[in-house]
Amino acid sequence: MFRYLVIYTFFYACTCFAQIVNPVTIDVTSDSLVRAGEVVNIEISAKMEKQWKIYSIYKIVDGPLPTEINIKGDIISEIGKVIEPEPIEEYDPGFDVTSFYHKGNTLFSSQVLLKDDLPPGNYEISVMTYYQVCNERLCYPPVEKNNVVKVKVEPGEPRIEKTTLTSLKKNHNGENGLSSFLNLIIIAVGGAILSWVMPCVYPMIPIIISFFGKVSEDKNIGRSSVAALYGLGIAGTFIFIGLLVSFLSWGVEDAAVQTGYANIGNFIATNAWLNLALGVLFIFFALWMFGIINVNVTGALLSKTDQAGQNAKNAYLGSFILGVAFAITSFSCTVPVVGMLLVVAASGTATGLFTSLLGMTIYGVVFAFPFVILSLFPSSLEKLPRSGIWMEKAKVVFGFIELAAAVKFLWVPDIEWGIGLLPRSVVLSLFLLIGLCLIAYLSNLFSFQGSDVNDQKSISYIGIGVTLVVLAPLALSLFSGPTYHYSGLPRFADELIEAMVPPPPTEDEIAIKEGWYVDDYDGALEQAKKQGKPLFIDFTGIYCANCRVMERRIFPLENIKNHFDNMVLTRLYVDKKDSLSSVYAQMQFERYKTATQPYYVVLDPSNESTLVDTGGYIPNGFDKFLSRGLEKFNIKNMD
Amino acid sequence: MRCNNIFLIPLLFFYALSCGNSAETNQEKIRTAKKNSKPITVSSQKNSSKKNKASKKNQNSAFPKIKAPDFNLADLDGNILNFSAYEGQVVMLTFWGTWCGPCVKEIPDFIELYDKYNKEGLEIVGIAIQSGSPENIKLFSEHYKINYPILTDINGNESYKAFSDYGTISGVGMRAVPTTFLIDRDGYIVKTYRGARPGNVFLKDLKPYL
Repeated sequence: MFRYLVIYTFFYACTCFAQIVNPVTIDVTSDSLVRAGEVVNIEISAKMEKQWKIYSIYKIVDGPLPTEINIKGDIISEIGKVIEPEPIEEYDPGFDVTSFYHKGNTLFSSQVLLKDDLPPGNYEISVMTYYQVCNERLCYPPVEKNNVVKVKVEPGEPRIEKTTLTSLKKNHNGENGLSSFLNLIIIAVGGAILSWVMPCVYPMIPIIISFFGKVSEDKNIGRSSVAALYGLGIAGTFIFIGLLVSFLSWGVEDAAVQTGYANIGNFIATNAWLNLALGVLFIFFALWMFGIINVNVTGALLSKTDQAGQNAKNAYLGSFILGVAFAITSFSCTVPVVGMLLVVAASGTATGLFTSLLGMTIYGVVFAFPFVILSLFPSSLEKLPRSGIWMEKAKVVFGFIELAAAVKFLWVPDIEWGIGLLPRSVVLSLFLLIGLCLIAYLSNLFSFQGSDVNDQKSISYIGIGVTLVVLAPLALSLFSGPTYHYSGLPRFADELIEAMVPPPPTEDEIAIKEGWYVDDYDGALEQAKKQGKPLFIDFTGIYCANCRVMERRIFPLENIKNHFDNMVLTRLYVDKKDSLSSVYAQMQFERYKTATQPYYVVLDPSNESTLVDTGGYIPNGFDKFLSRGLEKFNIKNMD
Repeated sequence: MRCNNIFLIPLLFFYALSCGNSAETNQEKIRTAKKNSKPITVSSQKNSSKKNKASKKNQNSAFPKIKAPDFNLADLDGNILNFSAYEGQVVMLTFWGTWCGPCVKEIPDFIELYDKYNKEGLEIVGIAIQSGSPENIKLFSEHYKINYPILTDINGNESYKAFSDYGTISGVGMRAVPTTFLIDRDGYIVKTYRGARPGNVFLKDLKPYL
């Protein structure tokens, strides 16, 4: 009888236990004795039976919810990436997707860097784990578990070998050095190739051709060494900027200073004086191309003396300077890629230095490559049939493009200083006017210097066709007042136009009318607390083209608007030249380790913790991102 | 054997109570509104004693009849419904989630069952747990071409509360999905399925009740 009792008790205790407890136990452990300013290793162990699957943190698919691990604590200055074991890849017949998961006991790990001004004592770090588990037939709904680990800080200077987060800054997939290295190469090479076709680049091409054409006439000048020096000028400039940022931020731990260096790229692209100078320079170039001004630039570079030896020296120096000038003029188009590499450089560590140096070198070399080729064979271009007329026409066409580029540079200081001479509508009209002039020129309605223009009809027609294609969206935009934004354009056209013209002047006013807190984080936070809604942050920039695309095309969609209704919205500019902007730029860099816009975050106003954030420009999937933020907010606020 | 049964009753009672209690502590771990957790415990204890009575009453029958608990949930258009909306029909109440692969695997079979037997009085009701906004679930159900009604939270975590109530009262306990309850025309739970099943299993079981 007693035996039965024992068996029954055991049986029921077991079933009861098995039915109620979630099949996973989370244990968190860490280094227990550390010093201020040192790294603490944290291990999050999820214990479960072999049959249970817990899903990958990083390889996210449509279907099961990914695991999330958030580490928090007042004593932490930086948090490293959470590292998970290589997930198992398996087809999920329910969702009809490949899912990524871990089976049975799983060990996640991360590192945090402690603040360096901590007095000795006992502290706590909290770890939130959010996960769902499934087996073949069942799933447990997602739960959040909170663990706390105790850390004892002993007195003493931080030990050197324990002051670097090895898991930090690996924001891309993959935990091993190889894949992040590959990523870097892909970014650098891809970015460089993209930069070849940027409009900032080709106004320089006729100058290169005529300069190297002149140089090649002189037999005493080694053509390949001139080309190499020219390439060195281009690549060297980028490498130099990378090095400069690395050294400036070497050992700097103040995030504000780091942000400043990382934003050098932004500064160059948006500095009023620099853009004014470039604008004037391009107008000058245009007039020169048109033959209205006749300055022998190449001659000036080669001038001083006609003596062969001197000449060669000047040619070498000239080609190097031309390379540097070329790199700087192209900067305003290449800044998205360069900026990304600069953020890595600004991390102030040896790895950061190495990575940015490598990235900038690859970028610079790849970027310089076609232009070096061009400089090697300028004469072959000149020897094309009917080269004289051909060159003349090409020069004038380039001249028009340079005029357009000048307009693009000039509206930057116009906005910056609030002059208001070049609002969006005027810029659009100017582009149209320039385009129409170009068409008129190609149709032989007028010419410069009365040159012979009665040939190459087919090429002219192609030119007219291309110009018309480019003008069409500009015209549509111009006739879509009051915002001068035509919303029916394909996205790439939109992106291109937004890169070329100033944002509508009423952007902020419209946003404020729609309930956005523009450049008012504190006000928005207070409001979000009052209303009990999550806070949506839109880190944006006046000069950020993709931000405009998101704001104009994605934000007004019905489903997005519905999500926005359940949030308090704040739009924070990071590139206005006021102190607030630098505060917000710093905030973005400190909290989210990024310096590129757009960047979107949904956060919980009660403790300003991140619910979800994005890597930036996500025209697709933005809806999902928002609903996920709302969902997490709702779940979190049920406790 | 009789001896065993005598032992069984107090043990069952004790077990039900202890489940209720540990359910409460577990409740706190799981994200459920604090204000909700207390009433659940109270009702679960009430329910367990009810269940005990029920099991006493039906000591001789193989399946003790348990009345399906009521619930208050919203459909995907925001209308608030309770169980009485389906009274008088044979109901398959299935708790599921949009994040749950095994649940999604069951959907085609449910669609087919609903197609064939809805006219004969079969109602299939999917209760979506922790699956986000109604719009989200709507998109999901359109994607999988779900033809039977889906219910979910009104504004808090009501679907989970309903799941909890059903789990506790039927004794399966628990929190894993899919869990499907077969309810007869008189509103009694006649069968419980924890985990995914093929459609023919459901069909075989529900046929006699139609």
